[in-house]
Amino acid sequence: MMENTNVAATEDPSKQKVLQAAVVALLVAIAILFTVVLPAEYGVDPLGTGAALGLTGLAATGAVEAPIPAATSPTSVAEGTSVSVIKGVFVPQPSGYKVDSREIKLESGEGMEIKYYLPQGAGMVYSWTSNEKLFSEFHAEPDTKPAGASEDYYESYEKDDQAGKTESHGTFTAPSSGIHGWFWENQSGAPATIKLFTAGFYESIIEYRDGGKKMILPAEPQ
Amino acid sequence: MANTRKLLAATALAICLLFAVAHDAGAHGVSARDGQFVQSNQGEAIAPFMYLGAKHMVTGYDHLLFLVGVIFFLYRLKDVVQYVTLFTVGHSLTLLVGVLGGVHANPYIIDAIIGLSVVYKGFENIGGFKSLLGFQPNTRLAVLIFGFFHGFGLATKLQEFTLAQTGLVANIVSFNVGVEIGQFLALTAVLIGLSYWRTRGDYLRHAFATNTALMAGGFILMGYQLTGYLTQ
Repeated sequence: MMENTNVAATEDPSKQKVLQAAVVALLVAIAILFTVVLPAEYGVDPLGTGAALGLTGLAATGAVEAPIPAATSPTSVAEGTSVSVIKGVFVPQPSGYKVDSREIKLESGEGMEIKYYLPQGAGMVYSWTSNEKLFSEFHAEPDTKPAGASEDYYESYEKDDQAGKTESHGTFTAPSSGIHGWFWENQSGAPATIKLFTAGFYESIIEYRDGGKKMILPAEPQ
Repeated sequence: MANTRKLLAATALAICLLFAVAHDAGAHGVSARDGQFVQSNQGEAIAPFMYLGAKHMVTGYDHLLFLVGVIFFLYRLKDVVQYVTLFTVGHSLTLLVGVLGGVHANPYIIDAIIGLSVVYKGFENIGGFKSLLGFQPNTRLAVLIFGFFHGFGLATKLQEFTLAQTGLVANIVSFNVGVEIGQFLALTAVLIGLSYWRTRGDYLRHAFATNTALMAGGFILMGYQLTGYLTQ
């Protein structure tokens, strides 16, 4: 039986055969990459094979990896019908949305954060109001940080540390998978109460307060 | 004898199917739901981190392809154990150093090097170094060094998340232990598959083609990761 425990046990192949194999492996790899892998993974489709096979859809849709589809103009389905299909106006989600409603008390000088974990492309509607003017920052910590970014890397959507405000409302589509939410700071000189209401395709909520971090559960409105 | 073979083949098939099912669509990396757990976890969580480590290994086709290449021509269990131990020492070291020491490597570059390790092993298995370059690099050393890169790859997967400092060491060690359990399970399946194949006469006849295919697989992984690096 075979005694050689290492390396090629067959007779040494000729240089030509090895070179041939290496070139074949490389060419096969390039062919598969450009016809299938790159269109499906990145939507890079130089040969048009991805579109022909319907693979580019993989890169364009899907709840987690998907870039947010751009709205496109209506296109007619078929000649002779009056039905129009408008593409890219919704992002389907694998399960139902959650609702969270809470009151947060902030002493004068105190600050805290609430963040929701949303996969890329998932949406959330939100409203918060306060009886005192608060400084706030709507921001995110994406799961995937740029190369070389520090541990506490974050991306800001709206920062208000000058005037302060008593309310903010909006619709939000997560540009990246990660935690997205608000930092509030009460510099009004009086205790403040925030009423926060959100509904969205988040799976968990994280509260940062007093230097600590904990997971909290969505609270249904009373 | 025939029955034993059938049994082995059925077992191998069952294990492969199990892996296919366990393999979530996101492939590689830590899936969104798991990532969310990692992110929100506070303190020690030994079993979950072990599970994540094992899952990553069992569903990580790049690690598996490399291991197939490594044990392709290893017939004695002693040799399998020796090479796999080198690989384990290599990746455990860089996994721990990477996460605990805060060494941040670019995941795409690391994964491209892991793809290169597959190409290397396939090329070595078709006797490429001996016949083209006239010398054979030390195979044990190569497995160890590529083990280092596989470990950095594992580290980057955990580093995508903000890990809680409390219980960090216990959690990373748990992840590492999970990786070894996953590797053991995957290796068992691969060995059963290869052993069955070896009982058939065509194993060596197809060895050259198989390792050429392995190289192609490695090239695909490299191209996939390098494109990711360039586009993101």
